Amino acid sequence: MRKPVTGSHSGTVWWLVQRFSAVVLLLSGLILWLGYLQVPALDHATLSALFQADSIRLLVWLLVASLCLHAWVGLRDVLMDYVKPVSLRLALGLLVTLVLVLCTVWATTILWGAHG
Amino acid sequence: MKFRLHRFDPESGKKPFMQEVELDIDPAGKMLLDALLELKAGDDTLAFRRSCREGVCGSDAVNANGRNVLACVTPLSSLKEPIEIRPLPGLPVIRDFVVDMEPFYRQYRSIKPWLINDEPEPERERLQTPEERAELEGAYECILCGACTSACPSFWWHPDKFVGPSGLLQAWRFIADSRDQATEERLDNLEDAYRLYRCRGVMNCVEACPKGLNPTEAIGKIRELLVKRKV
Amino acid sequence: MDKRVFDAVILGGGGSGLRAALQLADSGFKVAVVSKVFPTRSHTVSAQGGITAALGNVTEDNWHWHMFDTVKGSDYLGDQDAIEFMCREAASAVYELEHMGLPFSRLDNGKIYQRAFGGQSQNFGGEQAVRTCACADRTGHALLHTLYQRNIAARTQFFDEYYALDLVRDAEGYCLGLTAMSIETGEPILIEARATLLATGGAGRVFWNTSNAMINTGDGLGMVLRAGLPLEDMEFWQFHPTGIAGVGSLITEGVRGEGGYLVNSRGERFMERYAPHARDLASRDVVSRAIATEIHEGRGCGPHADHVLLKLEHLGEQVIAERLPGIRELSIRFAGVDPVNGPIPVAPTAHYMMGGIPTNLNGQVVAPARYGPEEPVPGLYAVGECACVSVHGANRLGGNSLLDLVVFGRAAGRHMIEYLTENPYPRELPDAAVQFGLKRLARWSETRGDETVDGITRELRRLMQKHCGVYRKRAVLEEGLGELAGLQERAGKITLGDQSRVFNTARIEALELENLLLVARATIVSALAREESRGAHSREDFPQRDDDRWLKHTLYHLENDQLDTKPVRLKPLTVDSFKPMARSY
Repeated sequence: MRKPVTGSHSGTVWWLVQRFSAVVLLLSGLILWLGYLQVPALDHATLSALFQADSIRLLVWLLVASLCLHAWVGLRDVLMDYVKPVSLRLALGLLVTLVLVLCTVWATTILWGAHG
Repeated sequence: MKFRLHRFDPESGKKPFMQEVELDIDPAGKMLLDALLELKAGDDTLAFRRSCREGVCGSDAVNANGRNVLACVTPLSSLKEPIEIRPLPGLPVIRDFVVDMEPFYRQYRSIKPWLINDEPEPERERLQTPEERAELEGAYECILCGACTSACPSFWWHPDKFVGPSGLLQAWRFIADSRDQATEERLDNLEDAYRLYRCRGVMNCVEACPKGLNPTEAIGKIRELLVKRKV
Repeated sequence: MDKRVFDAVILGGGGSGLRAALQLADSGFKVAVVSKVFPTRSHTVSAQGGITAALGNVTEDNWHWHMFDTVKGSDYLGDQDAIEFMCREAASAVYELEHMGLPFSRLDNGKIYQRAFGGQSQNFGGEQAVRTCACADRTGHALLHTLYQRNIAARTQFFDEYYALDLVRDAEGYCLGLTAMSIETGEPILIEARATLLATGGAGRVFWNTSNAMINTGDGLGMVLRAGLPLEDMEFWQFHPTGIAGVGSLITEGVRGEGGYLVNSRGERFMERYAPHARDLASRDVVSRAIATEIHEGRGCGPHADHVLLKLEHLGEQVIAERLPGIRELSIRFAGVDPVNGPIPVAPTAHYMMGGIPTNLNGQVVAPARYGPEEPVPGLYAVGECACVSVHGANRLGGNSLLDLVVFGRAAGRHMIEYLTENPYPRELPDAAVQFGLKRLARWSETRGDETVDGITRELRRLMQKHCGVYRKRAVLEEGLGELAGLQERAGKITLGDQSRVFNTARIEALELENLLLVARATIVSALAREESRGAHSREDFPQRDDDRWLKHTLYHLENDQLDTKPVRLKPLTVDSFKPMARSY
């Protein structure tokens, strides 16, 4: 008989990560949206000026990072549920991780790299 | 009344099929099980499980018109015709409405469903206040019919890894018992990514439970403990 | 044929079988439990009210008073040594269940909740005692699940959904195991064991109106009769006073223990006339006869005046929800009445078989042999409802059934351990004995006539209801016996439509019918012989108890319907005997 082997990693940690990232996502998104409502005209100059502030950069970075983290947990769940072959699940998992890490890195370079 | 019955006998060499039958029965005051018994009286090849016929033994869970029910406590009059009867989903079919419950039982056994208390036994009963005893309400009443677990998509995907609503409800029954001393061990047993955390809160289990129990709530209480000891 | 070897095999996964299995498994013996249903589907699960033990948590109490009530309740037919043993062991058996994890309801001081039940008294017939330990009104469910759980922990080997065919005995009478078949595959199997325990439960399915589960078909009783062994006191069937009218499902005596009462169509609390002292908490046989009389004399309720009403609205929603939630659910579902708002229609329903396979205190099956009427059959045991120890005599008290299961399940387990230690090696297995059960199975593959299992079963149950119910008399019983012979002959002409090997429930029902027919025969023959009224056996033509002629047990043998008797054991183990007295409540 094939012995069922379940994941060794903590379910609680990732469950917490999912909830926590959702909260960060919601809060940072809400703040940015409220700020966006305050902006009089949406042109390049205004935005460039805004993004000079570290607080805005940090907020946007938090938004992207928590989105990626949240997406990672969610996609991992999808892979766990629907992709049965372990090798394929591992490959797809790596791909997802890579893409999401790249997204975060990319966002970081955009935010802090451009004027550096 | 019109019925559509899932028929399958592996010995016949035929694939499973839906059989249309008419039964002359007055639905007033009768349960689905009464109809199944009448149908079997006319055709003894119809196979299903039954025992207590009053909703306490958990033998006759079937899928009627897409919902998991106990046949003996489901009024015939509550079902729309043609009444479509299938075996419980998500479990291997042995014959007609009879499924192999072993994956379900295996998960039940996996949560160590017995009281663990290593202290010397007193000569009399261990004391438990009515309030402590009340914690077990809604958990110890489970009849292991499988209606909830076989309605749960997470169990369909992971019958070998996800404990399922019934098993988790039983895990809670022992965690909640003031006399049980193995809470840490029980929580460890459910800590990984599959055994409890595959629950997505779909709440099919709550809808399916013929005893009106709420496994989702019990899962939430276990998760609360898991989180508490983590943070 | 597949053969499996164990130290002990237990047939039946209800309370008594699982209690015995636990004793053996915990002591390191290899034990197999064979059950035709998954163990928690066994009929123990339906027991509601509780398990009686003189814990004294609510009122002052002791086991000796419990013993007196049980002897009196049995209408002095119970064996007093067995009753003393049961009542003495009761408290420890209940505490043990609590330690195992059974979720008893609790009193404010944290002790096990106890409620009043029928036939219970303090001081040998004085005030009402409060003696029945309860887990709401789901005590059987809680007990069965707890025992099953402990057996999983003890690594008992389960053969779930295996149907037993017959006992395997050698020429010297030793029981060497049993033959069975897997219901799922249809494959026969030989389970060899040095000790065999029958725990197959009752056979209430011989009656039309019964509280019993559909699996209660007396399989162990049929096996014993076919093995040439007798059945004891088969005329004694308890009709529970409060089955849901027209359905049969049980409404526990605990309802009356909590303060519910019965009324007739005139709104009269009629039990005051039949049992001025105990009223609604008189013994079950007394209340059932009272209801039958009320209905017979035209004071029944409903359009057909065929039931009486059980009132409990006055208890209030909180008490009902907390103490009787299962009853409320059953009543809403099957009677369409929420007992919080209205009375439940009830009528007597066949509930419990006081008779059964004769055993001694150790659960050993005993039969007349060379040295006396109670020679143990080596290697064969029986406990629970299928057995007759006899602690219930002519009428069982409520709450004593679950107690019987665990006390004698444990006692049998203990004695089996002794027996296994003294008999460490298996005896030679005669092939003919193995074939006996297989032939029984093979016969159902042949086409015979145009009768059906369902048809004969329905007729049998109607026949028993009509000819052998609450009240009995010679002419009616004799007529019933004649009709039964006709049915038995017609049963030989049954053809099974289903010839599949896989989960063939039609074949199981046919095998069950064979056992039901034997149980019915034993019942009517024994009822005809006992020319007196005692406990649950009421002969209209012999309305009095007759201690001179009938203070004894009947023993029915299949061969020639032979009926023997053996004396009642009036001498307890240590205390003074309770002399038969007039029985009033």
